[in-house]
Amino acid sequence: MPKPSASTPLSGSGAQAEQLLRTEEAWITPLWNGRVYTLQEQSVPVDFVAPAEGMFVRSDPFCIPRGARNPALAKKCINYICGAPRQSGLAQALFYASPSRQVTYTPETARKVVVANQADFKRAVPEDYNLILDQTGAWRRRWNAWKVA
Amino acid sequence: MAGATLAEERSRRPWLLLAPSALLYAAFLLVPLALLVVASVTPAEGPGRLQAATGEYYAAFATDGITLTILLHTLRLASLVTLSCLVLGYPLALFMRRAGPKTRLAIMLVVVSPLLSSVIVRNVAWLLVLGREGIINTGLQALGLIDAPLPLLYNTFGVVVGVTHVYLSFLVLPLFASLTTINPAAEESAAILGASPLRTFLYVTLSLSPPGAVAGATLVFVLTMGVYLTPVIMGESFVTTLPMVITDLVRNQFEWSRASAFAIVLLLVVGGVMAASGWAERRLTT
Repeated sequence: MPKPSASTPLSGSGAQAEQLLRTEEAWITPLWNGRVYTLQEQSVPVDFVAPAEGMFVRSDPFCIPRGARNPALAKKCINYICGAPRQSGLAQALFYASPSRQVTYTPETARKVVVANQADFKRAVPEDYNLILDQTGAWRRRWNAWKVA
Repeated sequence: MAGATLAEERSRRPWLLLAPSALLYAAFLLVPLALLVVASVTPAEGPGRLQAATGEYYAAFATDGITLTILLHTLRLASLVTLSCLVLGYPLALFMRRAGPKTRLAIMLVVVSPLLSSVIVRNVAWLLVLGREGIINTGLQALGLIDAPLPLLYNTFGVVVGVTHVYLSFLVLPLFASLTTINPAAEESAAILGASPLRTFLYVTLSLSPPGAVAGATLVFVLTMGVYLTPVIMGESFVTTLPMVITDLVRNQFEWSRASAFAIVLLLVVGGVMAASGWAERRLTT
C-alpha cells in the first residue's frame, strides 16, 4: 500500500478516485456517494460518511446560456431529464436522489439514495466561494506539503 | 556594380532562409517568454498593479515552505529517470553498434516506438501492467512468489518506469551516434596488445563515449524536468512535481503571476543544467 493512502481532492467525474478505492490504492478520498454505492454493488468494502463538523449540500444545476439559439428546446430537454421517470431511473441505476418530491423510490433504492433528513440538512455548511477562492492556494500548499512529507 | 549587387544578394540569402523560423520563434517563443517574465513580477491584484513590479512570487518559491521541496523532488525524479535511461540505454546502444543493419533497424524502431504512440494509450497500458491487479502482480501472485501486490504504481517507481519508457530513445540515439564515431581500430589495437574485452571496453570504448552519453543524459534530464502527463497518470496524487504545481496554479487557482514566476525558476534551473552539460561536454572533447 503506497503512502499516503488518501487520494486526490475530488475533481471531475471521480472515476479515478473510484478506481483507486477499487484497487485499494487509496483508503480514503472525497467521492460522490453514487459512486460509493456502485463500488458496494461490486462487493468493494467501502462506505461513505459525512464529517461530524458538517457537510456540503450541492445541487447540479442546468444552465441555458444567454443568447442560446434554442432556449425552448433546451427547456424541453431539461424538463424531460427532470421528469419523475428519468429521475427515478437515475436513482435506481446510479444511486443519486432527485430533488423532485414527485419521484418515488423502491424501498431498496430509498435506503441508498435518501441519505439525509431535514435535521441533517440543518448541519449542512453553505459553500462560501469567496472563502474558497481566497484559501485555495494555502489549502493546496498544505495538501502538497502533507503529500511530500 | 552588377557584381556587387549579386554579391550582396548572395550574402542575404542565408538570412532569408532563416527568416521564417526566426519569425516563428519570435512570435511563439520569445514574445510569450517576455510576457511570462512580465507576469511573474506583476502583483496579482490591486490598483496600479501593472506599474508596481514585485519579486514576491520569486521569494515565495523559496519561502512558502513547500515549492522548494517539490523542486528537489522533481530534480530527484529527473536524476532517477536519467540514471535508469543510462543503465538501460548504454548496453542497448553498444549492442546496436555491433549489430547488423537489419537488427539495428529493428532495435531502433522498438526504441523509437513510444514516441509514435499516444501518451494516454502508453500510460494506460502501463496501468494494466503495473497496477495492483496488473499483469506483473497477478503473475507473481499466481506463481506464489508474493503474498500481497507490490506497490509498482502511483509512486516514484511507477513514474520512473513510464518516463524512462518514452525518453530512453533520447539517450540511445545520441549515444549510438557517438559510439559509431569511435574507430574500431582503437579497440582492435587494445585487443592485439593483450587487453581483455572488459579492459578494452573500460579503457577504450567507455572512455571515448562520454560526449554522446552527456548529450543524451542532458536531453533526458531536461525533458523529465518538464514532463507533466505521465506523472499525473502513473503517480496520481502520490507524486508531485513542479510542472504539476504550475499547472494547478494556472488551471485551478488562477494565480498567473505565481505560476509565471515558478515557470521562470524552472526554466533557469533547466538552463543551469544545460550550461553545466555544455561545459562538461567541452571538457570531455578537449
